[in-house]
Amino acid sequence: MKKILTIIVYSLFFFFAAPAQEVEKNLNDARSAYSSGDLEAARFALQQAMYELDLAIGREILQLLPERLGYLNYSDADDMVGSVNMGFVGLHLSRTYQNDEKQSAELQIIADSPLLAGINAILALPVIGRDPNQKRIRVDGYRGLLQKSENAQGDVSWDMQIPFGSSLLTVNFHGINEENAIMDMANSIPIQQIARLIQ
Amino acid sequence: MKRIVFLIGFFAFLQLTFSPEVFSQGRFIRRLQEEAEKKAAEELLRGLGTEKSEEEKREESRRMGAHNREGGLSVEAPDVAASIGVAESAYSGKDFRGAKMALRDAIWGVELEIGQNVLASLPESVSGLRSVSGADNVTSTGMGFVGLLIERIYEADDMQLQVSIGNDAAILGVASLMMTGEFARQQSDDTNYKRIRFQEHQAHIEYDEYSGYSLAVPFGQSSIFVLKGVNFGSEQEFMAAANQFTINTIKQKLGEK
Repeated sequence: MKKILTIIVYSLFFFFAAPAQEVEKNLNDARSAYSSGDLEAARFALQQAMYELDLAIGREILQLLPERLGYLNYSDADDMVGSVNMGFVGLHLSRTYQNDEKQSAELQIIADSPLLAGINAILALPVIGRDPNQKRIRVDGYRGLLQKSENAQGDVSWDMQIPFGSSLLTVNFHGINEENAIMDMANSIPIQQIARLIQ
Repeated sequence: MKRIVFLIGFFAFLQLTFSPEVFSQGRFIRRLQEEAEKKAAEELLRGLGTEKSEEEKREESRRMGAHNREGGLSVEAPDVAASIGVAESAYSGKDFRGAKMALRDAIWGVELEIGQNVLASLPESVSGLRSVSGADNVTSTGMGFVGLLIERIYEADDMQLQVSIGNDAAILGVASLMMTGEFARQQSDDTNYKRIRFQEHQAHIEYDEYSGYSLAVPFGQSSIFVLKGVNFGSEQEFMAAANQFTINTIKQKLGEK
């Protein structure tokens, strides 16, 4: 049993430590390739370092996120971090919170995407207020958009979008009827801390 | 009698008014008048421009809020080795934003060097057209979306050659897309487009009556060579110019396989 625990602890250590080593390794590779005049290899190593750095930022953000969102628990296995590393869509991550009563919240963050900067302008448009199922909200000091949907079976779902800088936080709530419950859950997300890490 | 005189007079008037000679003379006089007016206006405007004093210019600039002095931003290529060092220390201090910025600088610095190397390998003149000094351009977002874009322009008289070399990432998608599109067009009877082999590479050449000839050659894993020729007399003349560029040399400078 002790052996299994040790293996698990070491595995977790390597899971978190590996990206840090990867960034440093890629930076070292880039330095030596550049000093030897191999520009293409230097570029590749630097792009890899950028990719690994995005993943490291993603993991830091996941650590900042709460383990519980109201009465919903997060599922460790569903955590996902990735990076397209292409300038127009950078880091993206997701976490799922759920319970046994088929209630869930899927949180997604797309970071470092210049295309998202324009969504702030959309939020400022007054026309948004005319849709009764759409409203502007404020979470942790950030303006956002909340949209309610209901299917033919009467199941309610909510889509919350909160842009910050060139990043976008999206939370899709399912099976939760009360808006207050949604807002309480959203207010437990430390957006300011996440923004500080990304921007 | 009176009526006859009136009719003769009326027909004579019509004859004089609508006869081709009189009509064309009138048109010529009108045109001459318009040209003279246009010329006078140009002279007047030119005269007004030179008569402006420095004080008047300053006043006008103040009023219009227009910039009228020389200036610009200082442009320096990033120091790649220093940027890598900054990225390392920022990363170890968990300053991820700082690390990212330094990495972008380093990537840009390396891409700028790659671009300059490629430009140095291109010929200075092609089929009598000289490269336009100051028109060389290396562009990159520092990341893979746009990738690296290297441009050079050659000119002589009314002829122009524009070379664009794209490298890395998304441009590969464009190249693949182009080849797929090309396949579709190859089946049509479009006579201004054809598929060719260019220096052992699959390529296509296109003719447009407004923009002239263009040649696109995707090569390596993620690169494309595009050549546009304006006012070339024939396809052969354009291809002779194109053949003065060596894809394999460009490929080697880009570190492509």
